[in-house]
Amino acid sequence: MNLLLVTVPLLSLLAAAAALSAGSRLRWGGGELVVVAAAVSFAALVVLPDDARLTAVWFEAGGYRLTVGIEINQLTRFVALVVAGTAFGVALYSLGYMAGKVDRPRFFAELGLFVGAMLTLVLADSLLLLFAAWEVVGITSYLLIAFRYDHVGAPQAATKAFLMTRIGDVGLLLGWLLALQATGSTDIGALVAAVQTGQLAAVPATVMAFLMLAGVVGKSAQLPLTGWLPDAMIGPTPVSALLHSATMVAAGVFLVLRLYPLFEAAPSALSALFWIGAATALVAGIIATAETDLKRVLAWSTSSQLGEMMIALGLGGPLAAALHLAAHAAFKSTLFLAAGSVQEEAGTRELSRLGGLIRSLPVTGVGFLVGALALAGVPPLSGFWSEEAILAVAARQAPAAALLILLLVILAGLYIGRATVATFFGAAHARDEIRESGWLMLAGMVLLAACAAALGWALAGRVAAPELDIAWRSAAVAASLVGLCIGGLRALQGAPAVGIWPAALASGLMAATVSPARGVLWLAVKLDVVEAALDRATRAIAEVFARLAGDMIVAERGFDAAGRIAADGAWQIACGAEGAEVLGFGRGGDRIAATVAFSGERLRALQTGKLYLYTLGLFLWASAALVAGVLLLWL
Amino acid sequence: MIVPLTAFLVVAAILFAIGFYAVIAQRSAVMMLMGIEVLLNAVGLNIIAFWRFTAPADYSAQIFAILIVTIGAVEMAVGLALMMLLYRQRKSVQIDSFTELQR
Repeated sequence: MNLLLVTVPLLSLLAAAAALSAGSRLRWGGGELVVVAAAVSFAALVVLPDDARLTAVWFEAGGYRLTVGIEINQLTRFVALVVAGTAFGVALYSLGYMAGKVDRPRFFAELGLFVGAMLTLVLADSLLLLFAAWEVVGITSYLLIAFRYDHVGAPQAATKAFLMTRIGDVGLLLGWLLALQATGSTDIGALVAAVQTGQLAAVPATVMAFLMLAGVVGKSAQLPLTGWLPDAMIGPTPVSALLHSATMVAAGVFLVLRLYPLFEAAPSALSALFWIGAATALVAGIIATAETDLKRVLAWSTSSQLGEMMIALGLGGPLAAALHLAAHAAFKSTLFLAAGSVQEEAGTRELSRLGGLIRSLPVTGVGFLVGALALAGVPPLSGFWSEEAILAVAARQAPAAALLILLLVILAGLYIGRATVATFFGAAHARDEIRESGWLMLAGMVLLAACAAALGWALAGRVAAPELDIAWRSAAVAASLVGLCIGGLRALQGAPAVGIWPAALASGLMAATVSPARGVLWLAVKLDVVEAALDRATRAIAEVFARLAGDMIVAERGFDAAGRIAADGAWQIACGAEGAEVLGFGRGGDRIAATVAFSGERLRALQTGKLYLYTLGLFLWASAALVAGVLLLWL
Repeated sequence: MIVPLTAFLVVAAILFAIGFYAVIAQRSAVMMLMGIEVLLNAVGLNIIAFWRFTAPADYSAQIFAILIVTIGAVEMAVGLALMMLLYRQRKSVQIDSFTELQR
């Protein structure tokens, strides 16, 4: 059982390593390993019992226990299934997408690393492991956005994504360090227990929640750290589908779900969550109506949908948020995969140069349509159920919030209706010889589209039971249809859904989110003055030392003269010694050598060659040895 | 009557002296080899005599004597083979004519 539990995240990491080392020799460049790993992880997650847990103490220091472990409970299993399922579909699609492209092993290794790290993040039962996986996920996001590092703007987009999420990650780091300080352990269960039993006071709980919130905002591309997500669309489309819509950006939502008792204990953090989510959902939704790039429309939409999940969390509806997380993962990855097919076949993502593609790409078109209708919230697709669950939470809390949700539904209908119609209907702008993509890409997309269609219906009763007025319900359906119709009609006229002012909003927002960086730069310029002053001070100190050194030179000269005298004396002694050496040792050595040579000549005479003399010598020597032995014995 | 130990020792000493003389004084290589053989047997006689009169229960002296006889046979075979080869080359077994190694 434990083995199976460890297998879930580890298998993808092993597949990544194998793809990197041996991928170039495999048929699909190592991608088949990642597909199999995702499928096995999915199956293992289904089979594992609800209380499976494997945890160990990494080390203890001064009363702090740092643990590492993974556990299965309802929430982690649910999100891990979403991750593994989406990863399976997207990896299947990638097999076809990457066929015949360069650097396939690297791509699949990075993809496998992401899947393994994401599963670790979801299953982790210690904040330490969760944070480590969180960072690995960030790194794989960086690597995958810049996968085609020679494309213009890709490295910049990757760096931007990495640094902007890092701003939030610092908050998460401080947050879990604070939790370690407060509970003496990195165990999530211990933290939750401490919050629920009231061991943790209100103030540290609130501070902790706000610090974690920073990490959530960065990872889930909420205001004010939202600017990196549209730029990240420069990465390969499977990456956009898996990381930047379905799973990685949902890690923020997941973190709030995982630590929900902590956020419940800090109502101000929850309301901050609500306001951040509301602002992001509105602004990103409005910007998406005017965006002209298909993938960027979807990116802004992702930001907006994540904002909607934040609203649900802020209003106290974690189940609704979890349901929307799963539904969003399914329909948004479907949309992205279809968009990737469109880009591959039509060669562009500009909405103005696309159109009428439903005739040449029927399967892709139907997949996109299913995803789009699910996103807009048309029954009975998954988006309808999850939006309804969120609406139920909002209607219970405050009618104003419910009106906000309705507005968001209209916006979603607007931008996705416009994108769908501009891409797949109307007059054809693109080349004629467009053909459907390979069966692998279609298989991955159709799989996810089926999930997007059926997931809400399958999960609705189990995860969140919506008890909603029929009035709100019909209003929601009407809102989505109205949004879709207006968006579609405006797209047929070739115009942005609500005018071009949202584009200005987008550039303003981008400028605003970059402004912290500019602020840092300004600070650096100001600090230059301080730095110059410090520089002058150091220079002055250096000059003092230089003067001191001048004095030292005089003293040194004195030492120098003394040294010279000593050296002269030593030289004289050496000369005398040399004479002695020549006279004494030289002559003596000569004499010894002559003596040795002479005695050698004399000894030579012993070697007569007469055998009897040798034998006699032998006997004499033996007798002498005997006599010596006897004498020694007697004495 | 029992022959005393001294008698054996005297005989062995006489044999040893004969062997010694033969090795030192004889010029013929064959005679020298025979002298060596006599030396070996003198020593063997000593060992057997001492065994018989001091430690008759211990058989190691007998084994030692057998070894000496064996070694003597082997040594004789090697020595005679050497002499044969030298004789074929020089037509002589006079030991003083083999002085090449001196130079």
